[in-house]
Amino acid sequence: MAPPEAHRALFYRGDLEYLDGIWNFVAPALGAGEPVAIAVPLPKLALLRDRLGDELSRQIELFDMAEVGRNPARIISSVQAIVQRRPGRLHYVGEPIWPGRSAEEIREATRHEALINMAWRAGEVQVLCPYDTTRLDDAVLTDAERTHPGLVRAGRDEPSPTYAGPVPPAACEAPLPDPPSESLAVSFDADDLGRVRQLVAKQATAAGLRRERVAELMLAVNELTTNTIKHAGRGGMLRVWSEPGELICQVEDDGLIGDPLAGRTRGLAGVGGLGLWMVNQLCDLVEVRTGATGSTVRVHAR
Amino acid sequence: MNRDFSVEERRQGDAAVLMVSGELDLRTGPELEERLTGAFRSGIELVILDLRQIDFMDSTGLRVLLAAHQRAHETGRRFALVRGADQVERVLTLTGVRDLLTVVDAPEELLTAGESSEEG
Repeated sequence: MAPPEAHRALFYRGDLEYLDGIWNFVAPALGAGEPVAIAVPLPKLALLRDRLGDELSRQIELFDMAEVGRNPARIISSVQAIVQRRPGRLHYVGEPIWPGRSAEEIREATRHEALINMAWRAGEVQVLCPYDTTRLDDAVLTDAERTHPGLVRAGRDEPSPTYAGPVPPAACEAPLPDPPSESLAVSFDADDLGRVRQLVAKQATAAGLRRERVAELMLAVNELTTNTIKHAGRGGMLRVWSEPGELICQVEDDGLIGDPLAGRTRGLAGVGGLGLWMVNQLCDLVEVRTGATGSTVRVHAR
Repeated sequence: MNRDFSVEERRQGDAAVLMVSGELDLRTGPELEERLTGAFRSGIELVILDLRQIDFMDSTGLRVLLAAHQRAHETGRRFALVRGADQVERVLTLTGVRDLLTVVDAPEELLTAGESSEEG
């Protein structure tokens, strides 16, 4: 089990508690010359810069979480990249869940919060995740207590009594809502990879995606269908449909994705998981449901 | 054989230049891998893979490039790419693989550079 200090949720009310909570976490690390990185939504970044001042802001790596964590499945590898280039124990502030995120984004960010508990050896990285208790739903905060071994509430550190280990809360595993009946559905096998790419490009263009986005979505779906051919017994099914502001593609097959960190950690290109890692970088949101009856991967492109 | 995919090889001095065209994916990757393996024969010090005519490349293609890079490294030879279209560049930069490889705009850059360095 991860020790409480490895991954703490900061339950804050208002800007003052927010700033104090983060300061109490980063100040000892800065004093000890250890690396610090902060990834929070842009408005919070501005708030932090004000508090930290220019001098300290330069010592800390600052990221817009709406960018690095738009797809929460990207966050672990983005932290890994910092760990690799900065010697010393990294102190990382990450706010992947903020008021206004969609229900499916919050669900996937909650899954990320559970899985990050198995991403590092104990002591390698310390993570603090701010949660806005005045504006987030109670269910979100209850899940945060399950996914964080440590909690900071009203300035006090405590272990979380309901911490459940690196296991996503049950709601994260609920089946995805059915695609709309008008969605396009095509089955594919090993001979159809090129045809599927053309189909995705055509649909994405028709949906109004930018040219670069069309190419990225085509590549992402190609990686998924390629995984199906490589790992699942037979071919699979591709579904494509539009939602307001985004195009969604879904690949279904008989395979099981056994490693919960698949596509979330950056392995060497020679080993497995590269395709799914690329999908996570290329798409705005990736939802994976996998089990004994097969896998569904739903990707969103805006 | 795969339609819409081809590899043409020419030899220049101790260099082999492979011009590949079409879509590089799970179906065509093994063919390129075989041709690249064959290109590293005795007497060849430099293998250049020209990607300018590639319309599409995915992680399968990337693995083929990395295998060639590895083979060159292990046998004390050189391996280089000729820069491909935007899509190919995107895959190389996204994955960080581009930083590992030598990339040029045209094979001639390396062919002449190679000869002059031998003279010097």
